[in-house]
Amino acid sequence: MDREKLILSKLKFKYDKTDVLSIDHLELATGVITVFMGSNGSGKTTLLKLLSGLLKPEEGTVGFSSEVLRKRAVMVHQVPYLFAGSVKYNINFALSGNKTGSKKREKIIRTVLDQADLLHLINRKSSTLSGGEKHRLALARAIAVDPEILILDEPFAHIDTRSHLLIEKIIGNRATTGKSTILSTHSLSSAFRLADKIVHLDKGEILDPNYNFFKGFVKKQDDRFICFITDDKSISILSTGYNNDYRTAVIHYSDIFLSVEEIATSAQNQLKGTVTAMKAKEDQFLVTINCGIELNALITELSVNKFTLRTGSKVFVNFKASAVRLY
Amino acid sequence: MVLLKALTLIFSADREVIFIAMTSLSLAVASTIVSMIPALLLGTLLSIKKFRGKSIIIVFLNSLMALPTVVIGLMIYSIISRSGPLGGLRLLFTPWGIIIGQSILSFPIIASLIYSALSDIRPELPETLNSFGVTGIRKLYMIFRESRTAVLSAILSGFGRIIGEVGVSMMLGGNIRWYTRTITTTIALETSRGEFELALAMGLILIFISLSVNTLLHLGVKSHG
Repeated sequence: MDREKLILSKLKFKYDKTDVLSIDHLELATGVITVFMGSNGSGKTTLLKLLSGLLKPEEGTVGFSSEVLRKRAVMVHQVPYLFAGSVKYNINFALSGNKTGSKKREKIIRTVLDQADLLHLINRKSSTLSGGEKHRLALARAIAVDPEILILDEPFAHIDTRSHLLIEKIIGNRATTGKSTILSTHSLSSAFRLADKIVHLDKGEILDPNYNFFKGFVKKQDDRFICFITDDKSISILSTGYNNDYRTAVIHYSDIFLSVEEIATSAQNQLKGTVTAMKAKEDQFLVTINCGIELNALITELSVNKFTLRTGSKVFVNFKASAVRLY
Repeated sequence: MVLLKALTLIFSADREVIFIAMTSLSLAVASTIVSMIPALLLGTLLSIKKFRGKSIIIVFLNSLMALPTVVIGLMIYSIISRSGPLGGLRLLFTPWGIIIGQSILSFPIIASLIYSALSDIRPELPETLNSFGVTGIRKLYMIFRESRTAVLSAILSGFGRIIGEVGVSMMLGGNIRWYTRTITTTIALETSRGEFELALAMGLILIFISLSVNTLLHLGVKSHG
């Protein structure tokens, strides 16, 4: 299996002759967390089922055959199905397909239940668990078989804050093992915290994002500002507020303004860069600037003409510290 | 007075009453088991596979559910009677004849109810099983296990149809004393002869069997859940 990417190409899927998914090209890196976002009916669940091999594409490919994906991926549904019987039975059954010895199996069961904070409920009937506990058990059951690709359909739906944070922690811990996790959610903050890549869907098609998204870490600057440093240490940006757990910075395209020379401004971030791409987007232009990292800004056609911007132009990228949202 | 005599017959453990009750019970259990296996397979096939002619089979099964027992008795009679194609097997007026008829009687009920039960399972169940690489017999077992209440209800409905039927037992068994006489054929015979005590005793035993089987299965499902 190609460890680098799952390549979705010319993918189409219909329910009752209605198009629900149409993706021309999408590359998903393996070994990272990918999050699909979109409103209800945007095609997220269908895409997850195609990636887990539970559905076969009508047209196009998802990188591998459904049979191969079914062997590599385990999917947890939005309303997970738990087998009748105890919490332990559910995990034991999932493991029964593997040639795992009973001692090792017992150890795995206890480990995953401990991670999901369900160890004290090991002998409880699954039907008597609360909604959050059911979600955690379904996740623990999937983690127990240690799939190459873990697929989660809205794992944060209808659960309390405690379960939400626990599930986020489990997904985060799994990321450190280098295994892939693909999930869908409506929780923007969870998506930003967890994702290495976010894909937005609308009516079955991929939407361009309207924000810049970086992974990194924070360092306290002074009493007013903090410094967010990208993982590759290529850039430091100032933001407000402080929380040591922040790992993601988000800057909306519309919060960035460009200048052709250094200017005196109240905006705390001013980065020098070069325009690498320009794309017309409705009545505006999406300008990509390389300033150590790639940043996108949305500016009007009037500004493009006024500063005669083109690929290769030298510009300054300006944004306020408060425009940097940290997660 | 009649009721008292009937109860006396039951509690005195009258040999013939016990024989008739055991004949009825064993024939019904055997017929249910014989019909259950193909009915489970057909019901499952109809619920999980899409194929041409599926609707026709479902309509046919539903129609068979309402078929009078005497019609089934008559059809089997024509096949296993001495001049019929299977006459050489000498099945007519034997317990085997009754088992064949009763199996055909319960088959469409079990198959149809299994189809309905499995059509109602959450799609997440087979998908979860597929996701964990569970296929074939293990998958089928888990689907039955997860819908066991509905599956057992289907089998019980088939059993209920058999234990209370007269037409097949009478036409194919012949109501032969100490051989093929069942509870329902006894009730029919004794009532026609004006011997209500035995008929009522048989009726009470029939109700007891039906209640006992249902209660045991209900308790079994509950404790397993």
